[in-house]
Amino acid sequence: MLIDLSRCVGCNACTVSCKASNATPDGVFFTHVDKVESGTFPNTQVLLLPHGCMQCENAPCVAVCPTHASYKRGDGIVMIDQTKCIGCRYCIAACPYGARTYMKTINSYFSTGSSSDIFEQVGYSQYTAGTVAKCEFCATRLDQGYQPACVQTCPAVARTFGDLDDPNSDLSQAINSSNAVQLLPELGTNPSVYYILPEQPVTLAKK
Amino acid sequence: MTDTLFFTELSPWGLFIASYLFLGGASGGAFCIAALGEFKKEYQPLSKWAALVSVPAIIVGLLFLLADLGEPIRSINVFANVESSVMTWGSIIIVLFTLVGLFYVSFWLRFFPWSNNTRLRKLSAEAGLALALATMIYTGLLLGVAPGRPLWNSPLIPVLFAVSGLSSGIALTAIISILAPIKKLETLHPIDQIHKLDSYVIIAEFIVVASLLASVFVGSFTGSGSVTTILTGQFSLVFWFGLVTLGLIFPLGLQAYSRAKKNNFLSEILMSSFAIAISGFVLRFLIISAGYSIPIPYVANFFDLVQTSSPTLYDYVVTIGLFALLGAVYFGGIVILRSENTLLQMLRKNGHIAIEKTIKKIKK
Repeated sequence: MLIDLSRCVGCNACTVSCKASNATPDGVFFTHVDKVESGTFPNTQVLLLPHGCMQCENAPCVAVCPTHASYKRGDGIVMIDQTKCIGCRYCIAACPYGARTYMKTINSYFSTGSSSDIFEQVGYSQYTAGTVAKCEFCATRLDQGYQPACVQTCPAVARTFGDLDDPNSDLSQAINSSNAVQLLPELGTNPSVYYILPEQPVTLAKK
Repeated sequence: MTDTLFFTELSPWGLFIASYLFLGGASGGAFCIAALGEFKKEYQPLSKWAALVSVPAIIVGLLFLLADLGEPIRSINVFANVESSVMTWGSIIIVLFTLVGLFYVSFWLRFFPWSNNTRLRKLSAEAGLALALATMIYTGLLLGVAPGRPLWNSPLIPVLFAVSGLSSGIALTAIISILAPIKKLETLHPIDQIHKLDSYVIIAEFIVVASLLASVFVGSFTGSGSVTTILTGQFSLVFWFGLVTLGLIFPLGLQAYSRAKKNNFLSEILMSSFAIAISGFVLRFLIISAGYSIPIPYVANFFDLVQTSSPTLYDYVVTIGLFALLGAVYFGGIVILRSENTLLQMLRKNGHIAIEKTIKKIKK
């Protein structure tokens, strides 16, 4: 995925559509927009940084998972097998990007206890309390030929999705023709999400 | 370097894992003393008590681990990833260590058919020693492989946790040996010796702590943030009081005091050991909490999703409950393994037992 930070307005439409599409419980956000402040007043800048899971090539979460619940599927997406996860949170400790959420309890937005809302009843049944969940690039949507929800929804057309392994895809060409960077590249995780930094001189803090 | 807001995320690991790592390290350290008793005759009286410290500690540590899991029913899955997961390796090591430790304890219970076989006992002590060292190192290696946390991702962390485990294990062994009833005053001298050894171990531990903090501070921007929170930030009280004062200044100060008075006092050993044990727990909790509160390039969620990171009432109740269970097991073990003439009774009569004088009296 490529995210163009010079286009992102921080509307959080991606956050909401992700939540709606994946039916994530209360407090669980697979993708969200962070605000990074830099400089001291009056010379401050704000950088809006949307991110979910980086789907790293050398994913530390896959390496440390003791049950093989975290695994990398054939097309490179890091998935979680909810039936194997024991909720040890080693993956959360290992992820440098804060992509994963531990769902200690599954809470409804509308009521305490079990929900009477049909969307929540159906949607939350795919999650088990006491396990970890994260962005999976809307794997089920991809299998049906759609784009991930965040990519489709973004009104500023800041997100591009495609095949990184194919040098002729729109995504690869867009990455090569711009100054796209990965976050925390020195950790050796080789994330699959690239960012085009905005024109203002904002430097991201190194590790 | 960009200024970024310091952001404390909810750490995935808290009181339960800190307790588990502490008990794992202390259990390994105590077993090292038990094994020492097998190879050096003067420490032999301590082997029984060190084993009594070691085995219940690792079992209660496993209970802490199970209490911490989101889905403990599936915990058998933890052995799946032998290729790359430190947690899988650690689970295997700890299970083996528990079994060998139980086998070693059975020699001291005397009603098993193999209880008088000293050769077999020594062999099991050797096997247990290897597993104990592996356990102590594993508790540090678990944190050491996490790539994004500079305070954890140092090769000094396994060293630190191993040394800390040894010092906590010695301290707990000293406490239980003093409180346990003994037939003769045979444990007086070895307790004194391991306590003196402990003072060297805690100095070594602090050299490692200082090296760790220094290397992490200069290693990266994020690392300097972690270390700043420990030295002057939100964890400074915990660090300077809970770790430096309780773990280094207080025990060494008491040592210096009793050296000046030309005798070691039993009450001094007891107080020092308690302080050292508590500081061992504080170290684990501190490294876990401070290692997670790092400034990362992206901070402050738009929707302010920061949840509170203080432990809940449930966390406190279960932690205190499990440590109380451990105390009850120690008490029960002391009763089972008991004899007359407790050092504790002597302590009540006269708190300042001059150890050298007493040993000279016994030898006469």
